[in-house]
Amino acid sequence: MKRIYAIESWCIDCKRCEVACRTAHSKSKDPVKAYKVEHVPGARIHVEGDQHVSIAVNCRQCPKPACVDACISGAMQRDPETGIITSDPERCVGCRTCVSECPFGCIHVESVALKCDLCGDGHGEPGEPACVAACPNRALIYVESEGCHHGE
Amino acid sequence: MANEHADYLILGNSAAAISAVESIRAADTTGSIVMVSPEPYCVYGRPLISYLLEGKTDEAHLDYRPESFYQDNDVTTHFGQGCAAAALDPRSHKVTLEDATVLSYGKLLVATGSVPFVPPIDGIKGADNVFTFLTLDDAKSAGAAATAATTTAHAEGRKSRVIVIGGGLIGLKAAEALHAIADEVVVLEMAPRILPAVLDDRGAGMLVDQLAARGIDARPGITTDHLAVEDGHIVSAHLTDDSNLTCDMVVAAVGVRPNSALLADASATVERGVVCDDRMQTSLADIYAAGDVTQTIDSLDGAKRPLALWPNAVAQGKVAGSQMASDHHDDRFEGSFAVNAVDFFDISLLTSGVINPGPDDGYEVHVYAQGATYAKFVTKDDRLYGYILLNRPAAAGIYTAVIKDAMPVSSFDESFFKEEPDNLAFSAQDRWNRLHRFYPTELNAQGVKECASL
Repeated sequence: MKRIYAIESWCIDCKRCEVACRTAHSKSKDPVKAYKVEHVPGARIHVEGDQHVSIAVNCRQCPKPACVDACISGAMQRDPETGIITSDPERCVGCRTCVSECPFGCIHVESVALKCDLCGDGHGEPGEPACVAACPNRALIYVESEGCHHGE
Repeated sequence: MANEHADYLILGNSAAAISAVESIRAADTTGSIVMVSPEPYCVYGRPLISYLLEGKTDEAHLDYRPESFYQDNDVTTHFGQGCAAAALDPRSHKVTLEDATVLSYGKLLVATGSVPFVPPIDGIKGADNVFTFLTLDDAKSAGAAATAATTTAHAEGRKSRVIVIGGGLIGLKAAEALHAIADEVVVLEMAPRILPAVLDDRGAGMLVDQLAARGIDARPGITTDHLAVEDGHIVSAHLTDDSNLTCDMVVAAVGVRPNSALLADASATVERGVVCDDRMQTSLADIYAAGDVTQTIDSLDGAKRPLALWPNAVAQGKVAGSQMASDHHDDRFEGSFAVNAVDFFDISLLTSGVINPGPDDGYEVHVYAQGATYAKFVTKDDRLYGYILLNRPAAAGIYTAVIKDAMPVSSFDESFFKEEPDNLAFSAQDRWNRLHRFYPTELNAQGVKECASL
């Protein structure tokens, strides 16, 4: 499967990825409306650090995801075809079991669990996830991963 | 009753059982699978029952797997009343259900979970307003009773009151759920603190205050020794501080024990739970067990005890399923340690591993508290062994990973514990290795394809 990788040496802590993520997960797909009107919950990618050293971190789409195994509601699922892990907001109760299990701190809860869903390539739509498309420096790349096959 | 044969017979229909079916089917698409459970429902997220009563979810969204799961996996089900296993004959490989159905098996998985322990309190036996809080039916009954009692109380011009006996995870979740229905909820906990197994004194003290501010009256160090009954109905409790507390209903949540009687009667080795090897096989041939019914060896302190947690059941079920489907499977249960996540209203509590070390065990304790947040870390020999995070949940799984992977605590700055942890706290090499699994070999660390010649 294709995965998002962060390239630390090109990251300048501009947080355009965070803006693009929240916008992509809004109804309007407009950043101002997403932030000011819809109050879309926080980004599913997070830039750690400062302008000297920084890195954007989001879900690693683990082949054996601890968050999925731990989920008490069945909301957190890994698609056996695409390998993409998503949480169904209709079923999630916000218990944070996934937060206690994610080794990378990539799930946060605002009423329900929020995580990267590899948007853009999710539901049969071709294209790069919004954060990757928005990165001005190729500090986020979306490439075919190696050594990890479907169903692993 | 007719005899039926299953290549794989599974007693239970919750986390461990479902996970086992999925891993059996990954290895064997044709062997017959029969599942047995006294509960008449499609598998549901058992811990969701409190959220159901609070209205945070509804019955349509309780399903842990879609209703088509059984058909999709070619599973025959015996669900509902009469479908509890009553007897097991390991020699003839037969299980008899309460309704006298006889099922023969090739391999058997016992994933019967735990059963509530009802304390022998004077007056509790036979009363019509005592409830347990473990199953969907328990929750529905308790919810309906609380609603009826509250309606009656209001008609009489008074407030309704629920007494929950037991201030563990189940008792407090029941209290939160019934608080959405009844006017007053009082939780009695015999131990000197609430959540005795997953919190320490200071954290529990803070949580008692936070619960009180949200309408739950939790009273550690107090229990009831006598329940006054009128016409089969508990009307008040005499407490161990010699006070009396009137009530409309009682929830008994003092604890659970593994539902292991079937295996014990069949002479399987049962200690605090069913004893299994790392293939999840019991002491009996062709019989496996997984989930709350088993006893696990804590990978942090070596203690042998049931670890009645959802993720543990999923992990054990997975191993049991692979082993049942193939004798040569290399999937092993690698041991486990406690990771608890629980929320009460807007309060979050995450705890893991060793949280109450003895004074002579050589552990160090590091505490960071501010306002409503409380963080405690337990370390020893440059390793993290446990944490408590009250109202500071962000990125907690990073700590869980540090425990699991036995990473040296000295490689992190104090801010890693004092504030929410991040990935930058790891060395550049560790960070790359953690975040770049399956990275394409043709790209360098700058994300560029290097050319041999220009």
